[in-house]
Amino acid sequence: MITIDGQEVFVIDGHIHFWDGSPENWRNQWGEAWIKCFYDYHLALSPKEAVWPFEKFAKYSEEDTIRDLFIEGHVDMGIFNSTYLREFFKNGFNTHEQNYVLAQKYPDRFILCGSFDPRWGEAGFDIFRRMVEQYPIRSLKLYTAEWYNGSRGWKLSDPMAYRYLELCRELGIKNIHVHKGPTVYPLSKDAFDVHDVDYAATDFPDLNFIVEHVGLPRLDDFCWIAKQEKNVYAGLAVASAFIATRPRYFAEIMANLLYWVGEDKILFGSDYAIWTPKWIVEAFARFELPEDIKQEHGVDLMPQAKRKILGENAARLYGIDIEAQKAKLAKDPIGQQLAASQAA
Amino acid sequence: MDRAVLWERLDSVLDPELDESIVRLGFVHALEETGDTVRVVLRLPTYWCSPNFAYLMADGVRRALADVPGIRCVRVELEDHFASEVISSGVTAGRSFCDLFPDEAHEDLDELRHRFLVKGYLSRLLVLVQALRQAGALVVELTAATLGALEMCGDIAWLRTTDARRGPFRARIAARYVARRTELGLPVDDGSPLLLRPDGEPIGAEEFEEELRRLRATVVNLRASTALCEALLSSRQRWWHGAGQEVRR
Repeated sequence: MITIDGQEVFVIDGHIHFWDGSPENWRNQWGEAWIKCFYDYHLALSPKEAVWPFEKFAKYSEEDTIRDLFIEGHVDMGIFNSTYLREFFKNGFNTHEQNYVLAQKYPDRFILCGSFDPRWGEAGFDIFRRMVEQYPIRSLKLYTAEWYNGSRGWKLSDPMAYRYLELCRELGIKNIHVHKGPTVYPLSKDAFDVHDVDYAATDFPDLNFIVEHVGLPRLDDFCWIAKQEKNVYAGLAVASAFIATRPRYFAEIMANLLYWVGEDKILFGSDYAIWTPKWIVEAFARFELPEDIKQEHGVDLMPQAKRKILGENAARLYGIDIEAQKAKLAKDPIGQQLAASQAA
Repeated sequence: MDRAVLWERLDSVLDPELDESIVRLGFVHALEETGDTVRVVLRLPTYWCSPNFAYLMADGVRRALADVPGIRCVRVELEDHFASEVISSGVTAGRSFCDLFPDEAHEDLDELRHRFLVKGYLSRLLVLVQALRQAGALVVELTAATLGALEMCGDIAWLRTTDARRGPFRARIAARYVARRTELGLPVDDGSPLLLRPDGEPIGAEEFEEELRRLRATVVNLRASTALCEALLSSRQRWWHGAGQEVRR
């Protein structure tokens, strides 16, 4: 919870991880390069006081996670964007199984994403069904740049991807988080951009597609698509981290999103543990668009828009009644710890 | 060999995605010459930078230096990238992108290059429009102006209108815009409209505001990506300089 304009605002962090990037888990040089690259992102945009040593960044504890998100980070609920990378990490990077360790302990705090990969083919349908049966999977995180058996990526518009999306329909999974951010592969111009989301969103109007990282560095392409498609949403992870050290760019990104996508379709995300939510949420609560940007774009970031972006929009997508959820959360171990520390 | 010439040539190589010189971005880590051989070491902001862009920059270096008098061999080395070896040896040997990634790349990079030339064009157009608006130019003046109305004089430029002169603004802004128009094959004669969409259609007063909105989204994307790349490159120095060292911020 964070106070904006004298009002308490419910915060859903739409993009969090509980990963193991430690050397013991590296399968090869890619695992090492992966976590080092993440650490570069961490260093590049974190304010000084929020910088971690590399060893902690590679593998942090359950206690760290609970403290960084809920005790200090103003977050009420978090969405685990499971990322597998089994070709880089022996046990995967942050699979739904790993994330479930925390989700199981604090079931009201976390939303667990599963995943599919169309390159599993039909043989993967059973794996997918089992995952949904065995774990409380409420949504998916898709990573189209994942390496698999010599292939280095796929598209949401691939026919086999459509078969899996049909399966999502059948199993009642409505929210699809898609990583469309900084990416490596695939190589050809069609595949590394965000347009495949456009096809899938048109053909599956009953599913919601949350484009993580707002397509950066393809923000413009993303904006055109999100304006046309009712069911395409903007996930702010990575963009939100510009707020402290590059506030002008953050303001320009927000102004464009507010104009093209609209305040009802933007979801907050910190990308924890690349960045801790505390400083981002606090800065966002205080943030005002500079006057010239307001004028130029004809938009504003009012307290109502902040409330929607921080929590209400995600709550709507996930069918969460915020008042009822608050009452539930007050009684869980984290809620009790928060109440005790406030009383003290 | 005049090293200034080599640096000047390198300065003309752009990151296609950021539309900025690889020298200004700090991607050129080393430039060495031995006899008729020149060796250029590139370091990019992440280990995972898209190989198509990495190739375009590395190959751009080779092309930029290949015809410098006295140079017979250009060795380009891409360091600390997941495709370092393939790209370094391939580019030095003058091989095409498809040749280097036969299973993954199905088309050569001309279309990709073109697409980013267009994005860069849009950015240069917006910068020009903003400079002119700040100098007091009216929308109708801009939409009615021809390219010949641009006057460049040393480092500064002006726009001549029927009854006024708008400016001054930096001549580099106008020069970069005209240069990209040439690269895209858009008209650059004095009588052609000042404001052109990338498809060659003039931008009229009615659609000016809407056109501007689209330009802004493209440009903020480019600027944010540039800021991120610069910050990442700076963070990356840590691994190259040894972990104990203070990170340059």
